[in-house]
Amino acid sequence: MKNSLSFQEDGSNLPILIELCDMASIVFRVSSAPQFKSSLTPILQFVKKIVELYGRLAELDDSLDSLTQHNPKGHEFRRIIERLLTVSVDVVSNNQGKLWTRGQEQQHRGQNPVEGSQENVHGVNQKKSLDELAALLDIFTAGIKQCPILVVQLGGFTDDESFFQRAIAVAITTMSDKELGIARSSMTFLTSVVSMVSRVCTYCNSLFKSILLQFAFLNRSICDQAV
Amino acid sequence: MNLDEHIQGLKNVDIGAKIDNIIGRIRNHLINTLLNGVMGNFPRDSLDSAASLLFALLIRAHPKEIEVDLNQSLSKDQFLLGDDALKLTIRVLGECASGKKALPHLSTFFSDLWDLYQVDDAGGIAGGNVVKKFERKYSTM
Repeated sequence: MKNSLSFQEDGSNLPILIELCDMASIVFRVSSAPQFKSSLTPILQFVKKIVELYGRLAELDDSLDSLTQHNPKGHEFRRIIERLLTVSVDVVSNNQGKLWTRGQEQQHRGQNPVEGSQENVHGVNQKKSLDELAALLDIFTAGIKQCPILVVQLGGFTDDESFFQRAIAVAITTMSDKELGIARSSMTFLTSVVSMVSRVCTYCNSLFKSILLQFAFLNRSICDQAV
Repeated sequence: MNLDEHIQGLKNVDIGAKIDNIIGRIRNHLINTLLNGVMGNFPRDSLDSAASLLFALLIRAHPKEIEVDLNQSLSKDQFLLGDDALKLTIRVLGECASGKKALPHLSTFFSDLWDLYQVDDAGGIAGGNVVKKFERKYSTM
């Protein structure tokens, strides 16, 4: 599936992408069955590839020129990526390790999410769970790079906490794990979040300038009419 | 730009503030975890990722905030290599925060610091030749 993806700037391969995403959803649904023992990592890597290729088309661009241009296919790309992100989080959060929700449970008990983070997930599924969690954080990293506003605005399972906030809480608990893959993915994700601040702020600055310019233009029009 | 786009824009301003707020709340903990990990606790192969994250935190925070975070994270109880090496570490991190030193410098520094903590008794080598060599290397860089 991953090899069948290719980027088309004009979004002309949208129908194929929709088909592939439907297939991915089916694979996720089958994989989440209790008797399914294989790793979800390959299908999560497929989602990451989609976000890397099409995330930019799903996002509001950070330049004012493109902000004023209406992108008819943008909405469809946005819907696909939101759906894939949601189903990915859903499946990983329901896996046997429960690593995605672990810190959340501690927070609800009034504990610091970091406390007790090193407790092991027992059994043969520990490595599999950590690999899947790393793959999910890699998807978020790709999302932060390609479509940060979409990722931050995406909701969560509850109103209290978005998927983005949960991903940060999880990454904090797993960044010092002895397993190299999850430690790296957590730190890379957190680095992309920290680096995102300046990118979003640049966008906000240009937006404010635009608003000021429009107020100035409006003011001038009113003055001209008065004269 | 229509009204919807204005509303979207205002939401984005809110997002910028939200992310800033989240990072402000976790920065101290992240710096503490990273420095603790670099003192021999992280897997060696994750040191570059750790350096990238700390560097990103250092260059984006206010110098006063960084000073407080570093002083909390690098207490004498935790840092076992002696006062001179501690001062040197704070200086190197400060240089990264102010933009005088780049990420590769921090990566190399982390790697050397991590190596020093691989002996059984890291506190026992404080002030010794190996630590002095480490101090000399970064005093002249």
